[in-house]
Amino acid sequence: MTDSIYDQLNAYGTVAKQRFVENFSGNVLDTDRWDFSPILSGTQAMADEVDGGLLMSTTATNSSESYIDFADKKQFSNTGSVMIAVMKHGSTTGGESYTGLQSGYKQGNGQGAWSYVNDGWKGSVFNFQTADGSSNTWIQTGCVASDTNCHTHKIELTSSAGSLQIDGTTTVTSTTTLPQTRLQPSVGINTTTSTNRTLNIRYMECYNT
Amino acid sequence: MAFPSVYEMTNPLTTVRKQHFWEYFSGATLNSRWAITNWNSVTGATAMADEVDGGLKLTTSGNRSAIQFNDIRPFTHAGSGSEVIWVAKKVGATADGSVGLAKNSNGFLNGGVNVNFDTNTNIDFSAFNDAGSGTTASTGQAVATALDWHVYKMTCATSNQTCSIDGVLTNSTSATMDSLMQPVALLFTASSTELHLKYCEAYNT
Repeated sequence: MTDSIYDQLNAYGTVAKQRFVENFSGNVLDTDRWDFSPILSGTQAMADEVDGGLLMSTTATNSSESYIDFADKKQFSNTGSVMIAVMKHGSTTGGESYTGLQSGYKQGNGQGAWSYVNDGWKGSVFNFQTADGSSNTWIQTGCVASDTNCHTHKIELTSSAGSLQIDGTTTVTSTTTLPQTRLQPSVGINTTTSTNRTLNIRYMECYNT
Repeated sequence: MAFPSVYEMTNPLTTVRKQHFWEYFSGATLNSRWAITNWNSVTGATAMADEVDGGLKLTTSGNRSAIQFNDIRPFTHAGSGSEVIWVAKKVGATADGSVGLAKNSNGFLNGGVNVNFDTNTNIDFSAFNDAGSGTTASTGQAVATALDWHVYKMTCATSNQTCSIDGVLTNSTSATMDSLMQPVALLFTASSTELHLKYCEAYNT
């Protein structure tokens, strides 16, 4: 038996790189860690349901948003990092839902890499979106069909490619429009209709490789 | 190095992880994921213990105070149920405390499983449904041993529950459970008593 968590995660003699784990459990979101930014009264609250994690919601107002990040503390490398999130989308249409790593304050702002859903605009799949500051790429071919079930989303960035893996099996890769700068965790949702949209996230882990 | 990620320490990536949390009770103050509740007009307080392996100290001015998730209940008896691990000790021979999972933070620990170290002979293990029906049985471990740190692990499914202390199975019960749950640590007594908590982990299985 290994005594330390450190030794479970790092080769002997290796200096650990930045890593964080969030279980989204308890009374309230840890706002010492997370910065919550609502637009048009979007909300977040711990879900009082089995395996509910954090519930993020828009209001029933077009352009309402709810998103969390690290308040622009960008500790994760665009050329060597991993993000793992367990989440479900309350709907896959009527707006955007995403989790990933970003340089800006939300998806669509700045650079990054996301597992992205917006069926009405980008097909009925969990897209792999990357942004390098001037262009965006949404990989759809080979991606898993989007749904409202809970899935494990894993994004990995290296110096030459990015990848999105769903539930440990299907993996898609992109080598274009990769982020060119440091990144922070990114979870968010918006609505482009008069529909109250939601997502639940119950786990997130990011680490540099 | 055994695992690339904390996720994979307990689940392969091909398994969608269920709700799972842990708390080391370390730092300047108790994390805001926890809430304190009080009864009978008492005042409970928490403070990090400034001592080696001190963890968190829970105190109360009377009868009784608890830390819990403010009735956010992500853990279930249904299916294969859930498990909880507490590393705890009481300070003061007259201290009466409990740790476990419960539906309510109302001080009665109904709708869940708990160990209770009071002033009786032995530590007890209880499994109660929301109405308070169920079982209480001795773990066979002297209550005086609760003055030292021990690991209390409990499992809770709809028709079977277990308790282990320091890795040794002490109880298996078959109460009929009906409630979603949150972790709860409860101190009943005020006079020169404390409940110390060093670790809590809870997860759906």
